[in-house]
Amino acid sequence: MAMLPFSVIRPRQGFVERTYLWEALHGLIVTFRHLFLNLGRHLLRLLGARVAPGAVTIQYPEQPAVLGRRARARHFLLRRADGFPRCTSCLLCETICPAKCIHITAEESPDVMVEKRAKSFDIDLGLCVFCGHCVEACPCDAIHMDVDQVELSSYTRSGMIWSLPALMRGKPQGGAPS
Amino acid sequence: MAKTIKFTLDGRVIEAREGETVLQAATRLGLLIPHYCWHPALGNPGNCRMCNVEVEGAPKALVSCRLYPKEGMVARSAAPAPRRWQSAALEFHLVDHPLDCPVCDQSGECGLQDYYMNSIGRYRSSMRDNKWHMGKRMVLGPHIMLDQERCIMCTRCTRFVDLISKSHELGIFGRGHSQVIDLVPGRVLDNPYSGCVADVCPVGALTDRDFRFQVRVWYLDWTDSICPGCSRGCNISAHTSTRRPWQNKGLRLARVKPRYKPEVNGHWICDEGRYGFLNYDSDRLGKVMRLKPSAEELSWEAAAAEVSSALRRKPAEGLAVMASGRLSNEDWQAFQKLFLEKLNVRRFLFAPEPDQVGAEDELLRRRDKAPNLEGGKAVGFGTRIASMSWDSLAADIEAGKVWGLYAVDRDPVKVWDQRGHELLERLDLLVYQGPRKGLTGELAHYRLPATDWLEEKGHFTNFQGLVQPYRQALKPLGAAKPDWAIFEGLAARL
Amino acid sequence: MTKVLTEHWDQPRLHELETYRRLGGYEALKKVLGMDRAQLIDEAKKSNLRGLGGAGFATSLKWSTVTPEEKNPGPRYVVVNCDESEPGCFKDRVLATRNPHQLIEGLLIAACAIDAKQNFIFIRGEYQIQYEILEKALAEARGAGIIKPPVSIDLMRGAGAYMSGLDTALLETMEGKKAWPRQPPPFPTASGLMGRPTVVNNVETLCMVPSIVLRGGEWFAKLGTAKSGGTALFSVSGHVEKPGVYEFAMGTPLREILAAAGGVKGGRKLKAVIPGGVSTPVLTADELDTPMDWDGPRAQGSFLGAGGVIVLDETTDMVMVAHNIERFLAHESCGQCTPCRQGSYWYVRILERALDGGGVAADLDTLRRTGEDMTGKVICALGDTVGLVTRAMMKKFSNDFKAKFHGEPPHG
Repeated sequence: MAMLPFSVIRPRQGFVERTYLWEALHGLIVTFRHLFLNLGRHLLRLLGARVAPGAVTIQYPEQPAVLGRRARARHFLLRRADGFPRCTSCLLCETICPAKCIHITAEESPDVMVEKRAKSFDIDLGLCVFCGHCVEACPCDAIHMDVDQVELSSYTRSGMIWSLPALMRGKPQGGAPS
Repeated sequence: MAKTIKFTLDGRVIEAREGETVLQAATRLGLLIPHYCWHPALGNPGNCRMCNVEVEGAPKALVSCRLYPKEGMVARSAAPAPRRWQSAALEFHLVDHPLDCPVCDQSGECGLQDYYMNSIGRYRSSMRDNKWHMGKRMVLGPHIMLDQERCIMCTRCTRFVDLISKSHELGIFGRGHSQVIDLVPGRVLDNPYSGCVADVCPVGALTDRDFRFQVRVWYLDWTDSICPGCSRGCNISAHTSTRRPWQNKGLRLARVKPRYKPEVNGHWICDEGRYGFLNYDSDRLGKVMRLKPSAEELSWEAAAAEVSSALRRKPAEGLAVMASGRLSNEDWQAFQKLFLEKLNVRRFLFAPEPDQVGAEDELLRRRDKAPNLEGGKAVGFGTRIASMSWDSLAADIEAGKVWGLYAVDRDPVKVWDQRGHELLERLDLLVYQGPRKGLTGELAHYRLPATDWLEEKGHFTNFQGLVQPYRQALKPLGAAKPDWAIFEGLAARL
Repeated sequence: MTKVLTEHWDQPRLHELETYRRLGGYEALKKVLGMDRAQLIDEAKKSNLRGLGGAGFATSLKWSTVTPEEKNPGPRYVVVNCDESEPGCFKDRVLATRNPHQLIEGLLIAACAIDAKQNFIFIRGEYQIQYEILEKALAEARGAGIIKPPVSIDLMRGAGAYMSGLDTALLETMEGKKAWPRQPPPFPTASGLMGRPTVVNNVETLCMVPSIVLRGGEWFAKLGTAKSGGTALFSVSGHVEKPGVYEFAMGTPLREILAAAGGVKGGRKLKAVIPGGVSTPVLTADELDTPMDWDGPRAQGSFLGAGGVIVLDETTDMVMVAHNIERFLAHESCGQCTPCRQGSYWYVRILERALDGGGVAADLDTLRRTGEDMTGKVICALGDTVGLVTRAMMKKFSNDFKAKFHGEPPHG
């Protein structure tokens, strides 16, 4: 394609614009407008008036965190009808995990139609990047990340490693269950 | 020069040898036509119908495993029509095949997966009906498990036990879609080559019980090696699991598979070699130790200094050296330099009897269970220098003629039993060098850790005189060094 | 019309040697002993006799392919294929029951054609009565010196597989192995039983041979059409007034055969006719003018087969017929090659589901495509047949199929 020459016309800046004083002032006006507007709204809401909230800040942890519908939080291993985990220890999630934080070992399942199950299933949440690839890779729909529990801290590194029983528990608890 | 037949396959001119089928010629030249039932050592029954090719002038699809090329023939395997036939044949294989991939050990090296993922799978299944169910998780013998549902009836296993091991333990029972592979009534799949049926099975119908659920095949590294189980030196591939150390119970050697070598072992290995080294990581030595008079871990320099001066303390006549055919060619060279040239030792024991001999057969197994006595012969051990017998050595120790024993990867307590403790107590010097502690390791004055065959590279010379290299598959444990390095270290100080 | 096989069927005790001889039996054999091999094969060539087991292969060609003793010393065999298992065909049974000596004579003549000494009659295990009749007839023939050493004829019984009616699978069975067909080359005439040249001929084919020898190949050829010599037996069954075995000249229109059997039972309307045993594609009521010889039915997409004419009236549901036939084929599939082993039972499941009310339109595509995927890509004709049979019914009786395969599949 041929490049046709054309002119770019820049508007000439006036003296005030060149010294930037007006832009700086304009910026301050914007900032203080937000400040007083939101402060006003906060005060009005405090007094009971029904106006829009002043800011989007959530007073966490008094107010719970609101996560998106597809947010990926801690892992959860689903059960079969007989109560055993659905996981057949195929190791696809372990393989695809980019952080190599899933460690699974396999054993024989007493059910001949299932054949294989997880002997141990450990996820190091300290390494996990919460990408969700494990959920996508699983052929048995055995692992989800939709429990929406984000309070996952621990005082020790080893405490960040969740094993099979912990991963199967549905209700969020404070701190990392062992 | 042998007659060749020129024909065209997918636009490429190929020279087939006389008596070769189209499939054989293509495979020899690295052109892959999908197939299951043909195996170069087991014949071409033509029952899987996968290897369809289109031949110009022929009215219908032809299976290339039974097609002998004619001069100037034009055939196509990768064109739309034959690919359609091949994908149809694959669909039929999958109609009743169970969706076992998550639990099946063959995942990652499965014939069905390989063709399905690589261009001939029909990704939209038309199968709406229930699959036919058969036996699962059936133990056929000490090493092999059968899943009848996964079987694709290629008959490679029955052909193996009929043609190669000639043990006839397996048969095909029933007719049509309910046909199954099973043991002949009253038999168990326990021939000395039973592991090979899991090799030839393209799918997860016949699997290794030892390998079951241990580790996924895509975590394994493959290294070309030689089996050290006997003097045949079968070519193997050592499959090691080091990427995910928590898999395979933490053991580094996951399994051993044969490599094709027509002059030595063909396509096969025996069960002794295949399953005999799965305890590779047990009882290993990693520290250089002096145990008597006081137990202390040493550096290699210190140990070399102490041991070399201990070896010179008394006349060489009273020094006996125990070795075996487990030494590589490189080890033997250094061994000879140290013990013959430098130390002038006269007493050597390296004959395989009684702890390194075993069963022999017409197929692969040899009586001599040491891989490299030939390597010793090359430097005189077994030709100029004869081996002592265990009895004569025991007599010499009892008579006080022997004051020191240097044992290289040989376990005298295992051979001499209780008597061994008493004999070894009489010695002024017992140096034990090897990869494992064994029963003798506790009693040594000096214990030098050596690498075992997968942790070093070297050469074995087999009974046919063929020198075969083996590559390093694993890192040495602790301070362990190859035998030849230890010998050289000592020789340098003498 | 001239009857070749059924000429003397009304004679009592035809199965006994004395009766057979009185009516001119074993004269042909005497004549053959004075002929040389080339003459005999030439006569067979002139006759246009083609294998009546269903393949239609020229008998003279089969005999002539066997290399003579001088060039290939060692045993050669004639094996009679009496493993009649095609549903709809029962002519060999009647031949063995009524006129066993005609078969023996034909067999001995064929043995002369290829210098065979040891011969076999492979009879399906279910034909118990016919086995006993043949045993007696053979004993009579041996006693009378008709079968004398070094020539021998031994009876061998099948064990209930349809596949052992196929020549190479029959030979495998005789060798003590599973009835799995071989994949020629080599053909049985080059390497058959125990690796030796073997001619496998159908019962009916061999029964024609004595007449050809006595009255000449040309006479026989003239009875039929240009490419199909002589006559053939048609086993008529199904919705007819008089089911049975009827002999007609090659080229006779199907209409005539149906009329001879008394027409459709109860005066009902004809819906379909299967012309040559269940392996042959179906014909409609409009296709009755089809001449029944080796080439005639091809125009309507079918073939002569083994002449098993199955008549179906208007009350028949063709999907049920398809299911019945496919169930038979799946049950009899030997299981050697994957497409037939898996595909035949897939057909059964689809048709069964349709009969239970669960058929969907997409299944028709599956049936069509799977049939195409099987035909021509299997080891033997059974696999080919699975697709051809249902496809013909789907094409000619599409309404029956549309009625059973309706609705949408549960998920896309």
